[in-house]
Amino acid sequence: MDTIPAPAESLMPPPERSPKLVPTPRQAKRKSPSLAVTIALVLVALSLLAFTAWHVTRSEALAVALAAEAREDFPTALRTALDHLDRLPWSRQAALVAARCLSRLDYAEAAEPYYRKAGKLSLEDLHYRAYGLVRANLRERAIQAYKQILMQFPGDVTALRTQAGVLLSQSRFTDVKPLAAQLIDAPNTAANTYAPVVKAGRWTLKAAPVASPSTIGYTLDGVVNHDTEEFEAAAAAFEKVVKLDPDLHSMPLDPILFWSHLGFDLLQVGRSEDVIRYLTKAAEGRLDPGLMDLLGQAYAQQSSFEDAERCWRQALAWDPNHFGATLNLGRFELRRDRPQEALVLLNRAAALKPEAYEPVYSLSLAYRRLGRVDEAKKYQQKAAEFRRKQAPRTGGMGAPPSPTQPKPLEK
Amino acid sequence: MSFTRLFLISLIAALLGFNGYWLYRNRPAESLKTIDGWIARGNTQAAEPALRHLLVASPHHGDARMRLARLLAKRDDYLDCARELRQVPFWFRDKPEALFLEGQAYKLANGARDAEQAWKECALDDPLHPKPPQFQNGAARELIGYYLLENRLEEARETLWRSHDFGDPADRPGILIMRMRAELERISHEECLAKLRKFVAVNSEDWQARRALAFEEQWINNEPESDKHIQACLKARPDDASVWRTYLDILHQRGSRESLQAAIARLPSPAVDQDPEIWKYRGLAREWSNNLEGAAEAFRKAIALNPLEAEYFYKLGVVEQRLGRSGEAGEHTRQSKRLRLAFGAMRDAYFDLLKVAQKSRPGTSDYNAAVERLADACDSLGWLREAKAWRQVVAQPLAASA
Repeated sequence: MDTIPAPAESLMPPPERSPKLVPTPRQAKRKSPSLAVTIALVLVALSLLAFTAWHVTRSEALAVALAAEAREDFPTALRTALDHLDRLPWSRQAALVAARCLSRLDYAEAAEPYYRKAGKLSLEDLHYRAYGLVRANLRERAIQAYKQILMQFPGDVTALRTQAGVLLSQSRFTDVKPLAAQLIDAPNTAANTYAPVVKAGRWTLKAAPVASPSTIGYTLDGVVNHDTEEFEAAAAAFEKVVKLDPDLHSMPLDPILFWSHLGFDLLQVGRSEDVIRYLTKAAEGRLDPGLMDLLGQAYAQQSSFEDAERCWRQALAWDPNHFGATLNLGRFELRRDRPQEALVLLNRAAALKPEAYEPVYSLSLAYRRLGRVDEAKKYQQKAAEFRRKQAPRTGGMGAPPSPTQPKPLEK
Repeated sequence: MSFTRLFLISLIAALLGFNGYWLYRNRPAESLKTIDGWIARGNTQAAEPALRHLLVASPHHGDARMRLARLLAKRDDYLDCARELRQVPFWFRDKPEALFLEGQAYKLANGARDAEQAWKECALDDPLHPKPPQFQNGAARELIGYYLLENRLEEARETLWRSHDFGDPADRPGILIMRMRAELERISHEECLAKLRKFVAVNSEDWQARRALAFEEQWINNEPESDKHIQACLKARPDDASVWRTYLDILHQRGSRESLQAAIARLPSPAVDQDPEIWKYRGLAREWSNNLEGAAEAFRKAIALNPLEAEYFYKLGVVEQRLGRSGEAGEHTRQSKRLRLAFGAMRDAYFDLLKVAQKSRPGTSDYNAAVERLADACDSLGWLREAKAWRQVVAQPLAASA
């Protein structure tokens, strides 16, 4: 049912709308502090938020990490860098410290994500990464890392040299050649390099200026030619090294190894006079039986048998178990028709290297000389067997004559 | 009060509270030296919270982690101790010790699988980070113990030889004795049963323990339990040759030919085809169903995979006899007999050596003669590696006796 308004109500005029309330000046005065309070509260809240963000992400660990890294305390540096990263996961500097420390603690694989996090790396950091990979025997990745360095820093001597070293360890001689050539062609002025230094079982890289980068190139070229038995080219390259860097300051090999290579290569091309010239000087004060043995071989090539014998005896005085000197002296005794003395030395050489062909072959000759035919035959058979099993090393004293080999000792 | 103001005040209060908590959380930690002092005085009540606080500030602190783990071990909380040790960073100096102790902690908590994992890591060789031999060899010894308990002879042999080849020469006689024991002695079934039950109770997904337990339960004729465990293993690891081998062992022990033949029909070839024992069971099943040619082929495959097992030659000889090839049968039976005799001679030589070792030291003539006899016995058995290793012990008497 519809409700009908009461006539009296319907006749009444509509009520007037109350006018909008405008605050009185007194009221306005009362309102403004409440707005101010709100604004103040907002400001306080914002400041507190900022303070909280700063407080939560505040970390003194990075400073500790950097200081520890500077004093080469890598475990502490790593620990504190990781602590810092726990607080500030975006910290590139902490990631870099962690990466460098992991590399130097020989955890190259674990360092990789931190290097990625660290962003663009400096040349030194790139070297830490690459050398860490070399030490971890991740050779292919190390080669890639060095290639990456060379793309950013073409001609970087450390990258060229270390990459060549890795390639040599894989016998990838053809890949080493262009790197050696690049170093040879480098301007012959001092270059900054990084050299690994091991201290208390941990390694790090130290700046090591190299006076002559070409020396490194020639050394690499020499090593490649030596390993591929290109003796003439090897000798030429090593002689260039001696010419460029007489004190071998820039030469990256161990000096004894360098002189051994040079002496051996010169002997193979019959330049015994040069061997004597180089090695007499090099052997001074070094007490190295290997160099002395080579010197003996050079004298023998020159038919200076007394000098040769003196060298071999000297080598044996320094190292009574030196295989080369024992064998060569044994063969020398055989040549001068003292088979009994030769027998003692050759037997000792055979005992030092039971799988070597040369002493066994020479023993067969010594027994034949003594008329002990059965033993001679036995050793001859053994020598033939060894020869079948292993290709004899070119140029060894017991090796069959070859066009590049010096003429054998003559009585 | 308006809602905005209320919200702002709450926010400020919350932030103040949080900052207060954060300040408290990051209060300066006690130094390790102070904590060590407390530990030395037996004040573990103070040391433990201090270490935990230090680890909140520096979660990668290996020293603090190791100390906390030791405290937990002291109050027999081995699981938490093992968990703390697991968190010792891999690059930390004493990680090998942490791994070794982690294995021990899990062992004490009967967590065989986790213990094995920790010891495996500890026994691994890493040329760039050589591990102290006491931990590396210790872990290898513990692993061998587990493998023998769970009848995992192949893994035991592998671990033994790795320890032998890369370990200290002075430890070699001991390792070789373990090698001999692995073949000649068995842990008692009671001991196996008791330990394996505990392992499985702690971790029902430790399949190796469960598989070994199934066999041990069968040994005491507890067939329902044995079935429960082996079926669970087969379900979880349907391609695992060791599980199938144990299953066939169990069925063979029950003398249930039908079940064994049914199981063989279900074998997941080729996953199990490199296991000589499985070929032996295949041969038996074929022999029972009068497929003698097939049986001979199966036994031959078993011999090809393990030519030093007398049983395979014997079974092949029997089948060939039934096939009318008496010449070949005789040859195989003789080979089986020869291997059995050689095994017996090796066992005698081994026990002789143990007796001699009680009276004389390595390097003495008695000891050397006993070792030489054992090496000869190993040679005739075809255990050439063992023979060579024993002879090296005689050749390096000083190292061995050091």
